[in-house]
Amino acid sequence: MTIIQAINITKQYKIDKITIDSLKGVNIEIKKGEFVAIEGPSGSGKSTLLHIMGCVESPTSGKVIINDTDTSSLSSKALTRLRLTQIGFVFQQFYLLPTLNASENIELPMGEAGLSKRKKRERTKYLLESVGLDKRSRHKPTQLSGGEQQRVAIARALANEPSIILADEPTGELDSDNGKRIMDLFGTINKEFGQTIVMVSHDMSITSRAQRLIHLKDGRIVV
Amino acid sequence: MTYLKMSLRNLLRRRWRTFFTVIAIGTAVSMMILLTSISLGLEQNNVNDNTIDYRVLPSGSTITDPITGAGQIMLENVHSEAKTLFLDQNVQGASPVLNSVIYSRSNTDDEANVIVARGIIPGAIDVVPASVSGLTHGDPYFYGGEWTKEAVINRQLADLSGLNIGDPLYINISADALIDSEPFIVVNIFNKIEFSGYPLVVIHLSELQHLSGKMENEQADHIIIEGENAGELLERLYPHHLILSGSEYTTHMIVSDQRILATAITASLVSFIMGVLFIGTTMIMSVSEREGEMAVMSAIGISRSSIIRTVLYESLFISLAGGFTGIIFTFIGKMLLVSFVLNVFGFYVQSITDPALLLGGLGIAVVSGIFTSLLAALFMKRPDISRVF
Repeated sequence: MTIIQAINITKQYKIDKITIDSLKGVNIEIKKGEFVAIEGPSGSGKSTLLHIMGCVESPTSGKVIINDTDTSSLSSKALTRLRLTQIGFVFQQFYLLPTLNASENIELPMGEAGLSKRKKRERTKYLLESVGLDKRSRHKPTQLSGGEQQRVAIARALANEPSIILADEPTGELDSDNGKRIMDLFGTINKEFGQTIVMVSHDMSITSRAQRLIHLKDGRIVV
Repeated sequence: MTYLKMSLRNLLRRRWRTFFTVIAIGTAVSMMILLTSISLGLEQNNVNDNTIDYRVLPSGSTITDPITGAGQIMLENVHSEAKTLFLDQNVQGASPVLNSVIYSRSNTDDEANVIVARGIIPGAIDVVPASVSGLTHGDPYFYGGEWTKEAVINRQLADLSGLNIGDPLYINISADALIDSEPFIVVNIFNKIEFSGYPLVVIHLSELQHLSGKMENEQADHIIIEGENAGELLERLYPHHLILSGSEYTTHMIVSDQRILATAITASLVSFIMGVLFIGTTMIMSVSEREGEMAVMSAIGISRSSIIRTVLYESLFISLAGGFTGIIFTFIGKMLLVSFVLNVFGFYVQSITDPALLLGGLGIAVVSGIFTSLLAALFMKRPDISRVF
């Protein structure tokens, strides 16, 4: 079953009077439960493609269909709701909210989705245990190491049990040991929770852990 | 709850900026309260005491300032009204009050002085100057007795006319009428600081009514009442009059006197503008610093309204803290001002800092906070996620 379908996606940016073609007619189909890596050199458009698939950016032309919903027809409010309930984001620089501790960062999307206090607490505890940080729940992001922050970010991405996890260079800021741990975690999430994972990286040692590799160059998929 | 925490922690994260903003708002709020309190105090040449639970004023009456209140609507048949009040167990004390500007002269004065006279029923209520000792209790002249010709004066009048206890004091409605007047005798000089702003003589109500031509219809400006539970009785007895509790009286004074109203509105507007400017600056800085955070929140599915809520809470926290600080500053400022003016200029600055006024100050701070956050929300751009990641 197809969970993400990107149809003829183009994306143009205008910087001053120069138009830059970031994506030039990309077509991708990702099946439910797949672990896909998008690989390519810097500037190939892989992060842009991930953002478009994650509905944080809109394409210049083409459309993205997620779980049979054409996202181009959705309002901004509906797109936000879609990101909340169906997509989990993991960023290269973690982007945990600095004023909230680990637990609160994970609880934030759950609260927005309307989960009860008890359910939020139970699920946060479970997620923190799953990423091996149950002893660090009260720590603020600044009190956590890079690897720990990324694990909290992964737990946050899983908070509302989304069917899709989009990860943008998730190991880019980590040393090789922590990078390996994070990749193991993605592997576990994919196998045990059945989540579809789409990951962007330029590191071949990381992307090789995926079931399928999509190579992007100059805004086009290279076979 | 999480958004509340985020807002509070965000303010604490930039604690010096928050501190100075709160101090600035507090100063603006306290200036507004102090200015209005002082203008109320300057205007209210009247009996003011916490013991007074209610005031009965004629409907349509403005404040009872003897200088500016000339020709205003008066209460009538006030002695019998006061008597009726005393029959009720809920009333512990009551006295009609008549204020009048009259002329006075002592034996040492070369010419007549213009002073304020206050007519009360001595002993009828435990409120200065009605409770000042020296005056015969009750109002003997009204009930067919002789004039008592007793006068209690304040320190200012004593100093002005070189009067001591036992000295004669000539008072009447015009300077010419003083020539044929029988003198009153000074029976006491009171040194109450709150009544040191102007020369004042306190005499029996009926004697002042007679002097000022208000005996016909037996008029007074208002009736002061002590008795917390007297509200219902007063509503029943005076269906066509204004019955005001302490705070209501302050509000009534503000809205019924255009000068106080103008002062209050100007001070409130200045305070509001200052609040908006300070909170606005802080919020603009906070929002631009947190652009990345807001983009992340948006990316993980937090709605725009929830993101705006964090901004709203932040400005509400600041404005509330500023409002409460303003209340504290008001009391400190009032103490400093009174002490400064007393020591340097030798008179007491009367100011009325009513709870309604404090609430007003707090309200202005909160309104400026809400207004600023709504403005911030209106102009806040949708987080540009692609620019952040």
